[in-house]
Amino acid sequence: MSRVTSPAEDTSVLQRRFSLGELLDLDSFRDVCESFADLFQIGFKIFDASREMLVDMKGSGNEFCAYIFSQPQGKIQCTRGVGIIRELEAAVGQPVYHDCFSGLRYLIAPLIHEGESIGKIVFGPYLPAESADSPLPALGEKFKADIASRLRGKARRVQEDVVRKVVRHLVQTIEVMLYVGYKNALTSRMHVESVSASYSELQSKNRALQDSYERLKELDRLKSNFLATVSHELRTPLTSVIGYSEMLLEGLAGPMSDEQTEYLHTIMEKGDQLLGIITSILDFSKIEMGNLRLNRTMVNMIEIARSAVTTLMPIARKANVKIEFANVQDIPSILADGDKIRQVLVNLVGNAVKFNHQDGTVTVKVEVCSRPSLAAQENLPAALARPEQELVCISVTDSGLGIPADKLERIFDSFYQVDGSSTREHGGTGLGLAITRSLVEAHGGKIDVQSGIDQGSTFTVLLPIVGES
Amino acid sequence: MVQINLEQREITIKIVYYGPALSGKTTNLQAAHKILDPNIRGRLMVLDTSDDRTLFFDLMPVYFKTSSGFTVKVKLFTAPGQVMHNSTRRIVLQGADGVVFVADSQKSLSQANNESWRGMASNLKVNGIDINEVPLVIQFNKRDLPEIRPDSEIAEVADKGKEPVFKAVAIRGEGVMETLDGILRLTWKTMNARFGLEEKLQIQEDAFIKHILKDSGLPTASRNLQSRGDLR
Amino acid sequence: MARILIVDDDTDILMLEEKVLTREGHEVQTVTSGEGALAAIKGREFDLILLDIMMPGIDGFEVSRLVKNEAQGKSTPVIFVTARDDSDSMREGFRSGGTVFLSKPFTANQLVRVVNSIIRG
Repeated sequence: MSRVTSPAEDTSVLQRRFSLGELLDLDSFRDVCESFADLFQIGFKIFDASREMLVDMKGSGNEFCAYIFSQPQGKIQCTRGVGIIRELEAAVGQPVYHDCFSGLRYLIAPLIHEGESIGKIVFGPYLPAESADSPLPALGEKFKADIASRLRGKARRVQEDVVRKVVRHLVQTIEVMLYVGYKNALTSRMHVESVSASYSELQSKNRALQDSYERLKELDRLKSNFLATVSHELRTPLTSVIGYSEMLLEGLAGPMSDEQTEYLHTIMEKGDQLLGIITSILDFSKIEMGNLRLNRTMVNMIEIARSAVTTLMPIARKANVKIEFANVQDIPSILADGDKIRQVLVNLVGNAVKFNHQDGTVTVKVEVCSRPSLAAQENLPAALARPEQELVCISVTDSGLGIPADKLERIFDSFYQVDGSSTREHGGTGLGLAITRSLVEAHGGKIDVQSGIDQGSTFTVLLPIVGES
Repeated sequence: MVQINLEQREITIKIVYYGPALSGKTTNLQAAHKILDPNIRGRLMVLDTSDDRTLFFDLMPVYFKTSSGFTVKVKLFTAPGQVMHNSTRRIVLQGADGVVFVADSQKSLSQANNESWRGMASNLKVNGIDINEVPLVIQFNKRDLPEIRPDSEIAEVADKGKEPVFKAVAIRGEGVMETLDGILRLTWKTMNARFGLEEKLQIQEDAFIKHILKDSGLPTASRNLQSRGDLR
Repeated sequence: MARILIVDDDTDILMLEEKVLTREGHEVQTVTSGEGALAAIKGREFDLILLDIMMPGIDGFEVSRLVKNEAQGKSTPVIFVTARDDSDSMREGFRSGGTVFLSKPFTANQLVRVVNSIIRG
């Protein structure tokens, strides 16, 4: 078979030719055929384009045919007749008749799908009305004419125009079933193809995503490495700066004049400040990259708070600011990273001192308080969350300048300074509050702020009361 | 890819109607179905969803026998327009011999038209079909709606571009047969140049068209449409 | 009074540490490389080794491992004095036999406190 095709065509779902058997649901089709045969009392056979018989319905002429076939002579002629019928092809609209030597007749009609023959129906055998009484064939001695005659009488006798009508009806019914079968076959084919194609697309998208992910992981790793290296590189020279300044101050290189001592203090202070900034940045980077690990133990917040305050006493004294502890009750120990919370409080109290007036005060209070539940952080719907929750609340209040309402939310943003000053003014990076918030939130807690212009500010750290699990 | 079976003396040609969702591809086939002689066309198979959106494709076969005994089958397909069905569109375009791009004339849908065109170019490429070689006509449908690109603009675009342009109101059946005539002629010319169909089928372009379109009210004389190869 | 070996490729820091510890009354030997450290160990016994990590040639971790392998060095405490404070470094440090991590930059007091606590303990 010579064909002009392209590679794509071979796989094209829609170009595929279907055989008769593929387009019909043979079980239900045979049921339909049976009811037809039953109705008309005439049998028929259906062949596909490659001459395979798909349906064989016996009709009223069956007994006669069987008797003929039982005769040796009859068998030979019958077989020949069957062979001829098999080869017969009818064209559209032009059915073909075959007269059997036995006097019965067949009508052969094509089954058309998409304008071409996909099989044929061999309708019969039936007894043509006009030859009902024609003589029987001579088939040898054993052949009993009276039996044959009686059996032939059983075969349905029918007019040609009736036969044509019946066949046309039968063919039309079958062709509708073919169309439906074709539609279903195409639909399910397309479905499979589409799903396959979508799946392949998904596969390759997944691969691309996986590649991206690997690359990002690698980038992460490089960043981590970079951080460690930068940390190292920045702190190594600082060691000398701080170390040698210290040595000079201790008189290891000889006595220092007051002025020299003063200058050295400045150098050491700046060295410390630089170290603080480096640590902040590195901490912040670690938090950003999700590398922060909490070391949780049972800690008492009152102790942590006191420790933070103690650290800041010298600075407070210098700035002429008083730090007060306003504690009235005992609070339970909770599971938390003591160091990190201490860092948080040092930041808050430090800010409270920094952004304060001369003779100002800073009040630190640690207590158990009730607040609307931190449900949002627990990923619970409001309906299931407890309406109020008991928390450890550590508040730091200052009598300073206050923060304008429109800036209140932004103060926790990284690198943000309320008055737009450079971070050098108050000795910060602008990262303190961002880190502080991250540290508190990492504990499942929350940080609140209340402030008014010239009314000072109160920062409150809320921590859930978590015991040992 | 046109399937020519010389032994069985039959040839199958595939025409695909492509375009953005709801531009009127199915409508084109429905209109053609009504107009074409029932003796030369099969049923219009519509594989759609319950809200009349084409799910896989529509298919209408047209077939006739030439006097020289050759069976000619022209299968008209539509590709689904909705964005999510791209893999189906690609499958439907496999082996296409001619393409009708049905564009929505509404100005607000220019973007959709363009995206569909780009998708078509991509799908053709994946199927190994060169968009510059394949017979392709453009139909601006829905000329009856408000806020459409004006006729003058269409005419300008038609002059500048290489694809033949047709206007249509498919829902009224207007312009549908003209478009079909256009793509059939273009496809015939291209395939004739490549495969010598005239010689093999013993049939000329006009006769080929006449078999299909018959009395659809179109002049059957060959129009002055150049084949794809000449238009570049 | 202890015998302390200080290893660091940065001579400024080396001098710093030496001055601070000498003032405390300890006997100090300094080397600027891992190789130098291994040679020094072979020569005499030490009560404590202060080890930098990032050095060209053999790094601090390797030195610690090798020292701990030698019969003489097995029980000598090692203090890593380094600006590397990431958890991976720390893990490796302790795995290679280190006792303490002292973070750079440090103050003289910090250094003395750590050294004294190891010597006494």
